[in-house]
Parts: sequence; structure tokens; C-alpha cells
Amino acid sequence: MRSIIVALWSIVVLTISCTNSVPSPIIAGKDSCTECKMGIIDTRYAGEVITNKGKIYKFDDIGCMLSFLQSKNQPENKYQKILISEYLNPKNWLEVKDAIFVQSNEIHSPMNFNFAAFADMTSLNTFFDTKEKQTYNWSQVKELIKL
Amino acid sequence: MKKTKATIILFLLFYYGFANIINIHPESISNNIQKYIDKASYGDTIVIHPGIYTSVSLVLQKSLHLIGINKPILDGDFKNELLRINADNVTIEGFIFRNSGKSGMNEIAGIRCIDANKIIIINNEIINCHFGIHISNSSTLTIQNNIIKGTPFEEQNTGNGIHLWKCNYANIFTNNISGHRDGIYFEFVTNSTIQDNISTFNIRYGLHFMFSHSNLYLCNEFIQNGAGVAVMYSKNVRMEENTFIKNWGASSYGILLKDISDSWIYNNKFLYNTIGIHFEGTSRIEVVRNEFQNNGWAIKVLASCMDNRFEHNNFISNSFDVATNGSLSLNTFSHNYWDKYEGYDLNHDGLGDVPFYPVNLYSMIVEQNPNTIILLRSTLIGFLDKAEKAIPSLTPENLKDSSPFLKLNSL
Repeated sequence: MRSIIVALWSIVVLTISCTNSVPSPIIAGKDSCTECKMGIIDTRYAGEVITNKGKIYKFDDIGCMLSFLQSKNQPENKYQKILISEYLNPKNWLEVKDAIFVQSNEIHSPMNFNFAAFADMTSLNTFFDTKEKQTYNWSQVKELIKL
Repeated sequence: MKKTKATIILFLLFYYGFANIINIHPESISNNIQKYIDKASYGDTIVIHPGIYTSVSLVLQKSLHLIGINKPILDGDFKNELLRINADNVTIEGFIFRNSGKSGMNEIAGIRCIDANKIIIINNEIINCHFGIHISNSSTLTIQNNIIKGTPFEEQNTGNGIHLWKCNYANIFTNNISGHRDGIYFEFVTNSTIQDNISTFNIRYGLHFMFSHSNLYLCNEFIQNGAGVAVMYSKNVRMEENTFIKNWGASSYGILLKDISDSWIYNNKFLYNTIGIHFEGTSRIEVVRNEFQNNGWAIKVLASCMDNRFEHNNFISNSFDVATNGSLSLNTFSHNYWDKYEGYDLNHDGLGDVPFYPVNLYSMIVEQNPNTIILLRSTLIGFLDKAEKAIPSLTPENLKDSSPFLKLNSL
């Protein structure tokens, strides 16, 4: 009897844990991009989309993520989270709405979109001279990359 | 007048016709190779004798030939780039380059060429470097007989073995590449040949094409790379007589074809791969006389592909021969040998009399719901497949081989 209860509880716990969705880190060399199927190695440019149902899609480049979102053609509030790696600290996810983007030929992203995301202006300034580089927010990036 | 002309010609001949040979020994008073390079003049040969040269960071800005005798070791002490070439007509032969610096931002390489034409890199060993050979914006290159070995401690920080960006007319022959991100990486490279190379144990792909048209790769071996070989966003690529072995993993392929057209896949061998060839967004590709043996999926053709031809291939002992995700197939299959074919040949012409449908019901189910793979080889699936064969409902009706070979195609 006891073992049955334990089994039932474990099922309940498992089902609950399935619906709870936390951003999942990208494992370089193991995960691959949903859109272009390439293996993800350089996590600095990676992105992740979490749907309201908790399904996680991983991308190697912001361009692939946008092409996926455009092909789905749904409003962004249909997704729980749309995330992009912080360029200087790739283990950290940023919400795309909060991120500051820079495009440059000096950085070389896997699909040649060459966008890097930063958390704030100070970290961006340590890396790029912003007088020369134009910064973009998420909606501007979406305007720039129309696939 | 005639005499003066002759003397001028003779003078020029002496001046340019006879290049000097400069010898460097490790025990030379100054074994700083860069000093000798700066002093040398156009077309000279610098011979470097065996020994270990440390803290090497050379820059070549004129046409020179660097020849190593008995493989002298050029060590970068994990600090910087070992050799940068920014000139035409350069030969680098017979060295061991080792321990370059590593950086996420800069593409540090064992040998880096920028805007350099007619470069020959031959018989070198490049060990423990971030990128092995990194060439950009160059043409007419020969990279031959090199051994390139990386140590992928931090996967993210490993560069590619041979990395070409915006190059053309490159010949890459008989190199052995291992332990890098991609063994050979082509981006915007045209009219090049990759032949007789061995690319193994690279973290991502053995060979990776991006936006590279009109290239040829033949007789290469790609063994146990993270995800096989990827040919993406390219056209006019010939892939012949290559061997793809043990590219095994959740998203691993023999070849991953994505958005490529007008290409040829002839006489290749695909053994023990998760997916032999994955077709996505491809058109007008001829897949002829290949052998698919012991793969999970021999070929996966997504519905976005059209006008591909599959002829005279052998499909032996694969879990799934063909998988697709749509109900319509615009590709043609003919004269293939399928070991799962159970038909007959009454008129003895060597071809089966009933068509073979290589896509079975179960592979369609797995395509839609990958978790059902757990039911592989169960009795239930056996029944379902038999029922589907009798009354087809889910499998694409026109994906069939109307003239399957009963005996193995001779390859």
C-alpha cells in the first residue's frame, strides 16, 4: 500500500515538474539549433524561446531565433520567455526586451547576423566604443532582420 | 646600345633570379627568427634547423620560403599568434607549430593568412592551437600533408582546424585534423577541392560549408565527429567517395544538408550514423551509388525538399531506411537495393515486380512524436506496420521505389 502511495506521489511530482519551466542552459557541443540544425558551440550568440506550455526551443544565433518566431507568426505574449545570451557572460540569459544589441563585423556569429546582446550600457561601453557603434533595442532588431 | 641592354637584363637576372638562402640554428647567437625575416629580401629561402624556438610570434610581409629541417618546433608559449602571413608567394614547410594563445574574441591561429595569394603550407604539424590554419580573403592556396591537432578543453574556446573565409581556388589535400570545433570550415569559399583528408573527433562537424559554392570534396574520411558533416546554404557541391562513420548522437548526421541545391552525392559510404543524410530545403540533388549500412535512419527527407533523385543506392541493416514528415513527396527513388524488400521477380529482369515503400508507419509516428522511439522493435509496432502495408493511410503514397533491385548494386 505504501509503495503505491509513493508511486502515485512521484507521478504527481513529475507532472508538476514538467509544467514548471526554467530556462535551460545550453550545453555546447550537445544542443543544436531548432531552426538551422547546426550544433551550438559558441554560446555567446545563443537564444532560447520558452512557450506558454513550457516547451523550450534553442537557437545558435539571433537570426535563427527571429526566423523561427516569424515562421510561427504569433504575438510575443504567446511565449513565456524569449531569451538571449549575455555576450560577456554567456551563462546568463537576458530577456530580449531588456537587452541592448550591437551589430558589428568584428564579432562573428554562427549565421553571420553578427549581433551581440548586452545587459546594460556600462558593460557595453567596456567592450565597444558606443560613439561609433549604434545600439538597438529588441523591436529595432526585429525591424532590421526581416527574413 | 645592345650591350647596355644585355647588361641591364643580366643585372636584373642576378638581382632577382638568384634568391639567397639564410640558415638559422637554435644555437645561433640570435635565434630570433623575426630578425632574419626582416633582413631577408624578396624570394629568399630561410632554412630553420631543428630545435625548439620559444615565444614565437612571426609576421611575414614579403614573399619568402620558410623551410624547416627535421621539424623544428615553434612554440608560442600560449600567448599569441604563431605566424601571420600578409604577402603573396609564400611557402611554409616542415615545422611543428604548437601552443598558440587562446581567445574568445580574436581568432588566434597557428598559421594565419590575410590577403595572401599563392600560399603553400605543406608537411607541418600544428598542435594545441586555437585555430589551426586560418585564412581570409586569399586565393590559390595549397594546404597539404599537415597534421592539425587541437585539445578541446573548453569547447567554446576551440577554433576550427582549417578555417577559410572568402577564399577561392584552395586545394586541401591529405591533412589529418582532430580535436577542433570544425575540422574544415568553409565560409564564402568557391572553386576549391578537399581531398583525401581525415577528420576525426572534432567537437562539431568534420567538415562545414556555409555559403560556399562550386566546391568538390572527395575521398575524405569523417569519423566520430560531434555531428558529422554539414553542407549549408550552398550550391554546386560535389561529394564523392567519402566515408562517414560513427557520427552518433541525438542530433548527429553523416551529412546534414540544409538549403542546398544542384549538388551530387556519389559513391559515398555511410556506416553507423544516427542519420545517414538529413535533407532539409534541398532541391535537385543526385544521390547515386551510395552505401547506407547500420544507420539509425539511412536518409531523412523533410517535406521541404524537391526534385532529388535517389538511384542505385544500397540500404542494408538500417533501423529506418527513409523517414519524412509530410504526406507528399516530390523526390524520386529508383533502382535501389533495400534489404527490407519482400517482393518477387517473376520476369527475372533483376528488378522487383511490386514497388517498395521505404517509409513505414512507425517512422512517421516517431517523426511526429520522438518519444515513441521507446517502442522500437515491439510486437505492437510490428502489427501496425503490417496493417499499414495492407491498407496504407498515413505513409506518403508516392514515396516509393517502383523498380527496386533484388541484388546489391555493385558500387
